[in-house]
Amino acid sequence: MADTSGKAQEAQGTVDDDPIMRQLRQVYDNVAQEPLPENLLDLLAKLDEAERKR
Amino acid sequence: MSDPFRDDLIEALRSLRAFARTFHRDEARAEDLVQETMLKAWTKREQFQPGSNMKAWLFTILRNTYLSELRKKKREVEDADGSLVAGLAEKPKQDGHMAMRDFRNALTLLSDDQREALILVGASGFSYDEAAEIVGVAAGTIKSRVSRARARIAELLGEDGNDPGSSVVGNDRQGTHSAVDRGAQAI
Repeated sequence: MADTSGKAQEAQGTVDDDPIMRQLRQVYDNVAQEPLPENLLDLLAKLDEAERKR
Repeated sequence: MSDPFRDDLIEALRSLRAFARTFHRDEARAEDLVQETMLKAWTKREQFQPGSNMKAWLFTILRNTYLSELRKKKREVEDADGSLVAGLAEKPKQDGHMAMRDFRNALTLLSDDQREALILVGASGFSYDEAAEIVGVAAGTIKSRVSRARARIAELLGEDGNDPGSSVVGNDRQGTHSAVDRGAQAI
């Protein structure tokens, strides 16, 4: 296992040039770019409130 | 009022949702997984080292949550064929773009291990070392999974990964095995 994080950097540097990696990112980002759903934000607000009351 | 833990959590949530979608094709179940992960993270917040990688921490929790659900479900249900993941594969609507749909299908044909490694490194932006920590294997293992996954996708889509009309359809299931989102599959 001779991997180093240096190599990881190298690999990530090439992501944009690689059509496969580019498509992968696109598919993923389709979801990652959606606004956070309300229920998630609501839940977070409730947790936050509970935290402050402690 | 400012709560750095909360701010980092929010920051990581979008990416966490995308990751969840690679485990559940059914959107509602993916959202449930995210919520559960968020709750767990919140209750374990004392365990989080301020300044360390929040995103990696959350991904690890989500992954463990998913796997323990899966083990539980496996005990309950033992049928159905599996197309794990492919939440990503099931959304042709907005961008009915052919190449993209084929790409998603190709993703579903990878083994779970390979797909996961590919997504963590290629899409979620983790280094090999970070991905290795999340999955609990050596960095070299992640590296070889990523490269095998990439090669397999290239093979499925045609040489350069840009050929939309190729072999994915009809070739179904062949490369898929194991751990599976059985419940979602039934829909």
